[in-house]
Amino acid sequence: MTEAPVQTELKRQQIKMANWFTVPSHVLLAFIVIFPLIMQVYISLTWWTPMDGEPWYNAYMSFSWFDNYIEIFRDADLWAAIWRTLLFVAICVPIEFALGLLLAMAFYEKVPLQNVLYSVILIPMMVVPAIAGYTFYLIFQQTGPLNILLSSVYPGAMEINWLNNVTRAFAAVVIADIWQWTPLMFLILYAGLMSVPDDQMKAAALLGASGWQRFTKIAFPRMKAVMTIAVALRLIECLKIFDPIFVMTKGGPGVATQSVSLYLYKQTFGDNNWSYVAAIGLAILILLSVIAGIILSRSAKSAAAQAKAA
Amino acid sequence: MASITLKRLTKRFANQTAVAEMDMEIENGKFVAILGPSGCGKTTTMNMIAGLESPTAGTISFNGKDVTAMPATQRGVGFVFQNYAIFTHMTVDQNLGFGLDVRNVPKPERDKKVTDMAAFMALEHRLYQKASGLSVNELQKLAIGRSAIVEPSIFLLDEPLSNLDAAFRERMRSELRLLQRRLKQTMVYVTHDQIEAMGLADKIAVMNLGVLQQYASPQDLYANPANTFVAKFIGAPSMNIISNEIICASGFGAKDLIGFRPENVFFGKPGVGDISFEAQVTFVEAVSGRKIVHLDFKGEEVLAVLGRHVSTTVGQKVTAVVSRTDCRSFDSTTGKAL
Repeated sequence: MTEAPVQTELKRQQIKMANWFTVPSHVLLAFIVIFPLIMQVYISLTWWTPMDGEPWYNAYMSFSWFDNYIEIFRDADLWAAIWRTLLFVAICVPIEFALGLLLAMAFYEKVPLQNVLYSVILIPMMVVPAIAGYTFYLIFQQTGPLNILLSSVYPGAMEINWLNNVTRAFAAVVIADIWQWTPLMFLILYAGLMSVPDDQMKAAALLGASGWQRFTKIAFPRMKAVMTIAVALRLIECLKIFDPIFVMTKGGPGVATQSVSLYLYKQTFGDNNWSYVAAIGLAILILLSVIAGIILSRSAKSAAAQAKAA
Repeated sequence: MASITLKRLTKRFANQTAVAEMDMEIENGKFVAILGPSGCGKTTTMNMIAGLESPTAGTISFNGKDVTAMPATQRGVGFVFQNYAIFTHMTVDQNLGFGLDVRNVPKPERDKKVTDMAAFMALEHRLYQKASGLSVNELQKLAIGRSAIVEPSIFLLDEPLSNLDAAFRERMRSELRLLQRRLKQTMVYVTHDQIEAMGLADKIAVMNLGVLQQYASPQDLYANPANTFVAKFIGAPSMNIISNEIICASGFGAKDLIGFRPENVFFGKPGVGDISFEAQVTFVEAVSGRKIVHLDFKGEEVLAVLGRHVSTTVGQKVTAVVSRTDCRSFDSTTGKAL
């Protein structure tokens, strides 16, 4: 009992010392996160671009208040890019999820050459996205391997330029993304499926459940967390899609495959609207933070409810 | 209700035989235990009966109908796993009703059966709770109830008591026995615990190294073991087995192995035809109500179980006596009973 005050004093000192030890990482964090963020807010309130010939801290000379933010609401190209990106996500993520899940289910029972197949399926994921994009760029050329292949089964020669047509170019980009990222979905979902207790699957089978019923009634409910993580990962990555589109179509034909990231890139390096891009970036950050906040608080609530039930 | 017939049932894994040419007949409505040390092939045998593993050779029939090629989903076998394999993400109601739901049983009938089974298993007050919150006792009842609700003809239990503590295990043992009488189903029970098997089963199949050693009633196994393995495995402490070269009893082959239960050894004067030998007490274990006396006889350890009141001291020289009718003889090379 008499030792207690000594202990708290010691603890206080330890905490103090610990705080000092974290100073370097605080400084580092300030430089890589907080400082650029303040810089971004500052620039977004001006018309500054590096072409002005003024250093960024002199941006106040072209102070514009909230003009950049007002412009966001007027910018039809930006909104078109946002809707296009959302459409892209809405097509790619569900297909990747479904294919990944089907593959994982196919791998649940031992199949011949399982290890070889497993490695082959994972290869696309290992390819650098820009390289994958370039590969698909070549595949979809007018004289590319896809047309040659189709010509062999189709009467007459196939001479479609896949990347020249609004719909086909969009489809080509979707196919490239599905090819590259279904393996990641498969990897995560397969790991989730493998973690379902084997006994439970067997017990369900002995109770008369068919293979499909075993998956839907036993495995999937137990994979909810893993499924959420897999979908969330792909949603985030897919919303930022840039490299393959940049390599395959540069956003074209016209703006048919222009994603938000690509639009921002063009605004920055094509039109030199640096301050406007800063404003858009900030708006997206705020919007996503709000959405993420809502989702997180909801999942925290349901997790708490589950913990209570257990 | 069904009988189970195993004919030359064999299971080989890569380079190891788990079950070798097993022949066994389990009569309708009987409680049969498959007993053996770990790795003896008892679980593999049961998995084959359930259809979870397919045999390398041989056949399995239920009621004379060959089911060897039938998938597990269609065999209609109730199976209780060692860890119960309860669907913890479901409620008790969903667990009990699982077998009915996958068969699309109409709702009123399904609900009635679930309620009846819950009442039978004393789980009705837990019906709408998550199964993850149940006690071990309730989990076991749920596991049995979940299988019983689809009225399987055969019940298989894989060491259902092995993860309970000793006191609780005793209670569950008697509950299981009562349950089997009420369900009136053929039950096959896998265990490595001979006390469990002896107490529960109508008949016990003793297995070792993939081979069925003996299939008989508990009393028969105890009194007339088919070979030295069964003799040693059944009974605690296990049977004394000594070569007749040492004991030199008349009426047995000179090289035979003589086996007798420690419970049948007493100290004192031998009667006519009794086998007796001089031995020295090396160690005495006092176990509730009885004494296990370790004797040294020409370098061999012989055990005797005596009443608590018999006074023995370490180092004491005694004359140990066994009635000839309590002795069994085994072939010294094959270990088979003679």
